[in-house]
Amino acid sequence: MSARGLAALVAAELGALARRRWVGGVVAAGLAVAVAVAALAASESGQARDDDFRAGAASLLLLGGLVMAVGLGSAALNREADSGHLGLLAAAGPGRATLAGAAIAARAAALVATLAVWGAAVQVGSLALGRGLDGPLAVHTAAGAENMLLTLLAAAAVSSVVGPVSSSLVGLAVYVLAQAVVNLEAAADQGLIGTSEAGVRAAYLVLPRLVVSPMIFLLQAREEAGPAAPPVEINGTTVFVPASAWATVAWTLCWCAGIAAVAAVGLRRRTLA
Amino acid sequence: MSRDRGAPVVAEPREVVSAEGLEVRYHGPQPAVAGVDLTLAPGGGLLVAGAEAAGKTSLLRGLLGLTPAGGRVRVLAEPPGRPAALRRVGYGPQGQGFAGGLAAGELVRVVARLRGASDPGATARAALERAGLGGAERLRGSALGLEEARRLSLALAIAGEPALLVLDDPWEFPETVAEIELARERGGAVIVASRDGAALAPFLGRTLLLVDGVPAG
Repeated sequence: MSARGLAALVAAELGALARRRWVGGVVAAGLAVAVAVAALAASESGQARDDDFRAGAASLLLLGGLVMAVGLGSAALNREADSGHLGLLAAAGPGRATLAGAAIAARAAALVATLAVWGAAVQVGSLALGRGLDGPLAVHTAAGAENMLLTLLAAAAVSSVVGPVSSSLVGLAVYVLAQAVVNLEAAADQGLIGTSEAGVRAAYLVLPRLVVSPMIFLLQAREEAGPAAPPVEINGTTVFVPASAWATVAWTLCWCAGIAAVAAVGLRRRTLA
Repeated sequence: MSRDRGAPVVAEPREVVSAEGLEVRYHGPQPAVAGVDLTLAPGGGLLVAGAEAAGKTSLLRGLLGLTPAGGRVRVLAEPPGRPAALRRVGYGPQGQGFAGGLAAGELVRVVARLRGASDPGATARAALERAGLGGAERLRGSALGLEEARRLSLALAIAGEPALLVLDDPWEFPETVAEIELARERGGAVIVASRDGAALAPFLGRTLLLVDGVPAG
């Protein structure tokens, strides 16, 4: 199909997403939290102000990002396949992979746009606190966006065959798995795994990994990251999860591309109403 | 409202639709549709009639490739679901939940663009006008009443002057009759699935009655 047709599909899907009440509600709630984070940090000073502000912002990006990623990804294909919308579009000529790709691309764009808006809001908060623009927080926002993209795509990939609740659980499971892989690799590096180390190394090489930003590594190491990165302990020993190397950033992007491809072909055999 | 009654449908195959032993099967041993043989020439019409759950919609979905279909089936000389053929099919779905959160005008515009319309906006406006929805372009699908949704389905089907019009459970508006006649005059073929399509039957010519997914008689 033509690029204009594909662009029309993505634009229409984005427009429909922007009008969904829950999407607007989550974006607005995130902005309100960003204001609250800055206001709470304003009551502190020095390092405590910086830590409170960054931990609050990171928590917003994590928890709000997960809500958006799971909410958008889990209903990427199933609802519209059942409602007759995808069938109507499929009967107009685009291939099913194109339809699925457009639906998922629109949702990914909506997720990234939401995180960008929240990221901009916390930067405004940083300016308002007199901290200037926060570069490490901007890097953390980008890292978080990649992690949330992985979650969204995992949920979307299975949404061609199962309902929204099951898709949500798969998305969350992939997020947890990717976090666990990184945590266990860090533990192995510290010699805390014992006889299972070979399995942990193999899992780290094969499975998707969450991207850990330098900012969150420093906050977690000082146990100041809050809900965004609680301390990790194995057998009573604290595990320091280091910031990701570029190889992990690239590896996770490869996983995103692979899952997106699975999602695009997953619609092929489904009956469309 | 302008209609180009003289515009020919170019280079139609001898049969717009042909099916031998068409079978549609979901889950379970019993097919939803089986043993359907049909041909539809340019300018032809067919009413697919039958009680609820007789297999009318499944037959249309099988022809369009929305669900896998067995048998030897060709639509505009292609197997079901081929994009090149589908771009020349105008499909009006049943029900009212098919808008996907889009406004009526947006939805018809997107479908017109997918079908390759040179000016999707103008095509969409004309289709909505002809379907009796001229003032509802900005209304979201979820805000449409059932009658408006059925008119939107008609508008979706006729956008872009398709070579094959496929209407699933259309309401018998004067606009529906007019579009069936117009499509056939232009050399397009029309298939209509309807539980009680008695009012449309005279404008379609032939009737295929389905009983439990199988042609009656």
